Amino acid sequence: MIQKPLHSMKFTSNAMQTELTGKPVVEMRDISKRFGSLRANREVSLAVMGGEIHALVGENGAGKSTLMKILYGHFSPDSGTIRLNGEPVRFRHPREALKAGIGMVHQQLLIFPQLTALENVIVGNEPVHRGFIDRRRALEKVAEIAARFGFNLPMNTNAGQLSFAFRQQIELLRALYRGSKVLILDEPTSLLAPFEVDRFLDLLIALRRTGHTIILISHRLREVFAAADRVSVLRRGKLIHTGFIAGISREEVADLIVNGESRSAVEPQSRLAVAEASVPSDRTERPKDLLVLDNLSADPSGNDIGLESFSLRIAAGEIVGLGGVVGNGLSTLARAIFGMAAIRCGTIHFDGRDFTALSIRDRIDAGIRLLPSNPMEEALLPERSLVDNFLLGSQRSPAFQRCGLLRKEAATVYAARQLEIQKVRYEKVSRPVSSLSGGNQQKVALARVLAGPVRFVVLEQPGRGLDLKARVELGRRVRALSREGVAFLVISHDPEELLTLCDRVGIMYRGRLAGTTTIGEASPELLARWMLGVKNGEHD
Amino acid sequence: MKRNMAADSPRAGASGGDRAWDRLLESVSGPLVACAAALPVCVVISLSAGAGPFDLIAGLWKGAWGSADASAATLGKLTPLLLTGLAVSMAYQARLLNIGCEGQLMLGALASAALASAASAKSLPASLLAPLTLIAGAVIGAAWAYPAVWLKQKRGVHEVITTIFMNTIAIHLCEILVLGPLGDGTAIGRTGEIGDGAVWPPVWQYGAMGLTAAPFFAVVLGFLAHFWLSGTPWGFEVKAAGCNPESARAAGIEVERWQKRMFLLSGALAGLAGALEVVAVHHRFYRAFSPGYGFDGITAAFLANAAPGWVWLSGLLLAGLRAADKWLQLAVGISPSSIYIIQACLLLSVAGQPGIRDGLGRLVSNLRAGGRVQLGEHTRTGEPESRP
Amino acid sequence: MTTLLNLFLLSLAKSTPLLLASFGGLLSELSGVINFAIEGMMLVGAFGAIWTAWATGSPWLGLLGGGFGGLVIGFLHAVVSLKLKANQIVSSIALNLLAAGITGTLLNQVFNVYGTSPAVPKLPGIGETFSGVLGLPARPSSSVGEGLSILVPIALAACIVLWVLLHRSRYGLHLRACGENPGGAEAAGLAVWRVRLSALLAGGFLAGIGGAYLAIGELSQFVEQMTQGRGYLAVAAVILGRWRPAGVTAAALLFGFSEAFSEWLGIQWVQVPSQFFLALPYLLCLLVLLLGLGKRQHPSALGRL
Repeated sequence: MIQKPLHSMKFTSNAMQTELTGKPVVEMRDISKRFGSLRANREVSLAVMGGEIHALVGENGAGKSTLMKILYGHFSPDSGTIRLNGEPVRFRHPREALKAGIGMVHQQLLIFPQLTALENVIVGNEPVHRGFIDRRRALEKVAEIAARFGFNLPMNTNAGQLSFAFRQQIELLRALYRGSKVLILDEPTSLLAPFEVDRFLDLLIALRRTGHTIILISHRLREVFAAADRVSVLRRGKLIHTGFIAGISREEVADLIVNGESRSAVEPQSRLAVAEASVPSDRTERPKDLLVLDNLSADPSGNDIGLESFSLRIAAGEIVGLGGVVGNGLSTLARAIFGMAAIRCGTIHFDGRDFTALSIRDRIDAGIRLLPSNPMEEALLPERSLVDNFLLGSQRSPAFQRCGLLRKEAATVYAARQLEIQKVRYEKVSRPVSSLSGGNQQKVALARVLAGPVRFVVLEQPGRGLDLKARVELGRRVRALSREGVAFLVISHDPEELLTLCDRVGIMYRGRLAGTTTIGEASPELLARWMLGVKNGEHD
Repeated sequence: MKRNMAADSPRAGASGGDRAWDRLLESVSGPLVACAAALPVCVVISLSAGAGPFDLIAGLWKGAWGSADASAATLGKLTPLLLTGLAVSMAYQARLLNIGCEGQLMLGALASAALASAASAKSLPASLLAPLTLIAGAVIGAAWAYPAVWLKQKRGVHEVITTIFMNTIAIHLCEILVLGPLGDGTAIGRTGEIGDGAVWPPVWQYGAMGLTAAPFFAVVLGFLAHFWLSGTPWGFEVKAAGCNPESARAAGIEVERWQKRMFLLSGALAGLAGALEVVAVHHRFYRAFSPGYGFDGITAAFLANAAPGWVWLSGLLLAGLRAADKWLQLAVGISPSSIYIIQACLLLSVAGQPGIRDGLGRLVSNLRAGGRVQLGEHTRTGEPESRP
Repeated sequence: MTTLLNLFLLSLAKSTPLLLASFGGLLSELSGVINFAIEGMMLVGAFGAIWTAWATGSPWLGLLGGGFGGLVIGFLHAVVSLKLKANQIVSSIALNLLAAGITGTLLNQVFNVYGTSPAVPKLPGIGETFSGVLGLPARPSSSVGEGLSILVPIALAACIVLWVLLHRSRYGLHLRACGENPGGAEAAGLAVWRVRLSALLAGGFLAGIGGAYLAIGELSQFVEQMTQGRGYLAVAAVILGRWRPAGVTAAALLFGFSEAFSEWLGIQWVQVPSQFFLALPYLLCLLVLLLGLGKRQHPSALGRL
C-alpha cells in the first residue's frame, strides 16, 4: 500500500498548538431541510470555534453542501436556528451572509468568464470615486491581500482563460476582500493537482494564523487530517460525530462515513475491498494490442486543450489509467477516441482497423464505449423515462423495433431487467431518470454504456458522485470485465483512484503523454513530477 | 404529448402521477390557461373600442362559425394554418425555430402556381400535374429554408434572424417575379390560372364555396407526423437530438443531420401550405398572397406545445380568428389588428407556463399550509429554490 | 463629391434608429436576457411618439412618449421571461406580435384611420436646434447637414456614453456580471432580477426612441408595420459587433450604410425593380453574417436564468 503522509507531522503539531477561543463563532442548532422527499439535513447541530479549521466530512449526498449553503444564505432551513458570535441570525440571501462576514468558495466555482480577474474579485463591493469605479484603489487593495497570502493571480486577464487553481484564487480573494472572517470552502481540492493541494493547505494555515475561521468541506481524509483542528461527520443528513482531529484516527473517521459506526478493531472495508479488487491478474505474455493511438493531434474539445502527437497502446484486458491536471488534454483524449473531437493528424487503430475517421455510431457498434464524467448531461436524457433512457442508443436494434415501429413493451421489459441487475432503486420505469438519486443515475448510465458487445471502455472520472460502496462495486465490475478481455482507459484527476484501479498508469501534460509506468513502479511522487512537466529528469 | 416549451429554464422536478388522465391534464392545462387568460384581454379591447364588453368574443364566434359560409371559410383556413403550425412544430422537435414560414409559403405558392399555369404543364394529365404542383411547392419551400440551417451549423448565425430576413427577401422576390417573368402579363401582379388538372374540386358543399379535401389532408398529415415522432426509431432519435443533443450524440445519433432534415421538412411543409392554397382556394398566385399565415403558424405550434398531434386544434382556433377579422371590422367596428393582440396573449401565456405552473403550485400548497398532510413523494416545500 | 457627402449623411440618418435600437438590445443581452423583441419596441416607440406628439403638440414630448412605449415592451419581456420563465425567444416573438396588434388597433381607435396616421409635428434638424438654442434667427437649411435630425448626433454620442457606463461604472459591472453568471452574481450580493429588469427597461426606452426617430425624426406620421424588420437588423448588429459597444456601433453604421446605399442605387438604376433595393439591405446583412468573421463570444449566461 502506498503510504505518504503529506507533511502530516508538521501540520498536526500546529493543530495541537492552536488556541481556540472557547466560544463558538458559528452555532447551528437543529437545522432541518428537505427537498421534496429528500431529507438533506436532519436536526443537525454544529458548533464552529473561532480561529479553527473545522472539517465537515461525509459521502456525497450526506448533506454537507446543503448545510453550508443554508449558513451562507442560499437556502433557508425548514427549522432550526443559527447564531453568529452569539447573536441569532437569519440569512435570506448571500448578500446578508456576506455583510455579516461569512464568505464561501463554492464547489462549482462562481466566476464571470468574460470579466477580468480584478473585476471578478470586486463585483458587488467596488470602490467608487466620483460616481465611477476607482480601479486604482481596487487594484491596490486586492494586490495587497494577494501579496499577504502568496496569491499570484494575473489581475487583468479574463477569468475564463485562467486555470482552475487561479479561478479558485479569485473566489478566495473575493471573500477576503469583503473582509470575511468565516470562510466556507466546499471541496476546494477535488480538482487540484497534488502540488497545488500542498500550496492550498499552506494557505489555509496562513489564513488561520491571521485569525480567520475556516469550515472545510472535503471527502479527502488525507488532507483533512493534515490541516484540520476538529472534524464533524455527516451521514445521510445526520451529524454522527464531532470532535478534535487529534482524538480520532483516519480509519475510524472512514468507518463513520461509510458505516455510521466506528469499529477501530476491524480493518475498514474500504481499503481492503479496493486492495482486493486491485490485485492484477497474472499475465505471462502481453496480449495483442487492441487500441493503438499513433501521433495523434486533435483540436481542443470544450474547455480542454488539444492533443499533441499523443501515442498510446492498450492491450485487450488491460486497465490503463491516465491522470493529469485539469485542462491538460484528458477530456479531449477521451472524446477523440470516441469520435467527438476533431483530429488534425495521426491515427487511431482499433483491432487492426483504422478508426480515425469513423462515426460515433460505428465505434459504438465496434465495441468502443464512453462513460462521461457528467452522465446526466452527457449520457442520459434527464426528463425522459427510464425506458427511453435504456432505449437510447439501441433504438434501431432489431430487439426494439419491427418494420420501422418501436416496440415499447420489449424496451420496458429490458429496462426493468437491467434495473434489477444493477440493483437500482426506482419507483416505476415510466418515471423520468431525474427522479433517481445521483448514485442510481450513475448506475443507469453505466448499465446503458455497457450494454451490448463491449470491447473497450473509456471511463471518465468514474468515482465522482459515487459513495464508497458503489466505487468498490465499480472496481469489481471493471476487474471482472477485464478478465473477460475488455480493455479500459480510466481517466481521472485523482491519482489515488488511478493507483487503486489500474494495471498501468500514465500522466498527461499539455496534451502529450508525460510518461507511463506499471502499477508496481508507480508512486505519487513520480506522478506528481510528471504532472509538473518534469520528464525523466528534464524540465519541459 | 411532451412539454418542450421551457427549453431555456430548469424544471423544479417531476410531479404528478403517470396515469394517462394526469398526463393529458398536464399537457392541456397550459393551453387552457392561455385561452382563459386571453378572454379578459378580449373584454378590454372590446370596451376600449367603444363596444360592449363581450362584443369582441361574440364577433369572433359569429365571424368564424356563425354561418355556413363562415364555417367553410374557417375550415378552409385550417389547411395553411395547420401546415405552418406543423412546420414550426417539426423544426422545434430539433429545437430550431423556423420563423420563415411566411416566405417559404409564398415562394412555394408562387412556384406551384407558375408550374401549373405554364402552357406546357397544362397539357399534362391530372394524375401527374396535381402531385407535381404540390411537390414543386414543397421543394421550393425546403430550398428557401436551407440557408438558415446552413448558416446556423456552419457559422453559428441564429436561425431566427436568417429566416426573418429571408421572409422579407422572399416577399420582395415574389413581387418582382409576379410583376415580371412569372406573371400573366397584366399589371395586376398575378400568375395565370392553373390548369384544371391541378385544381382540387370541392368535395363537400358547405355554404356558397364548398370545401375541398385540403383541410382533411392537412389533418391526416398532422397525425402522420405525430405517429412518426412517437412510434418510430427515427422519431425517437429526433426528439433525443432536440432535448439533449450531447447525450444523443454520445449515443451515436447524428444530431446535426437530424437538425438539417427537420428544418428542411419544416420548409417543405410551409411550401406545401402555399401550394395547397393555390390548388384548393385561389387557383393562382397574386401579390400579398398570405395574410400572415406564416406567423400564425408560430402561435399554432406553441399553443399546441409544439406537439404535432395537437396542432389541428390550435390551428382550428387560429383559423377561426383569421376568418373572423373582416366581420370584426365591418360588423363590430374593431380593428382586425386586435387579432394579433389576442394571438400574442395566447403565445405569452403558453410561453410563460413554467412560471404560471410554479405560481399556481405555490398558491395551492399555501392554501393547504395549515395542518398539511404528508403526501410522501408529492410533498412540495413551496419554496422556489432548486435542488442542491 | 456632393454625391458622396449626401450618401454619407444619408447613411448617418439611416443608421440612427439602428444605433439606438442596437444599444438597447446590447444592454438587455449583456445582462443575460435574449432580446429579439427590439422590433416590437421600435414599433411601439414609433406609435407612442406619434400619439404623444399629436396629443401635446410637442415633438420632444413625443420622443419621450416613444421611449416610454418601448419601455413598456421591455417591462413585459422582463416579466414573462424572468418571472414566468418563458423561452426568451418565443416571448420576444410574441411581443413583436403584440406590438403589431396594439399599434394597429390603437391607430384605428385614436385616429379613426387604417394604415397611416395624420401628420404630427416632427423633431427639428440639427441646424434648427442650434439656432433655436442660441436664439439666432432661423436660417433656411441651405447645407444638407442642417437638415439632419437632431437625434443623429445624439445617437453617435450614445455610443461613448454606453461604453463608459458599461466599463467604468458600478452599474455596468453589475450588468455584465449578471450576464456572465447570475448564480455568481446572486452569491456576490447582487439582485439579479432588478438589474436585468432595469437593463430591459433602459433597453426598451432606447429602442423606443429609435423607433420614434422613424416616425417623428424623418417622416412625421406613423405607418403600420413601419419598422420593416429594422429591429432584427439591430439584433444582427449586436451579434456582429460581438456584444461590445464599439463593434455594435460599427455594425449598425454598416447596416445603415447598406440601407442608404440601396436607396441611392435604386435612384441610379431605375430599370431594376424597386423591390430589389428594398430587399438589398437584408441580403447584404446575410452576406456579412455569412463571412462569419471570427468567433463570436456572447455573454456566458445569455438566456440562462
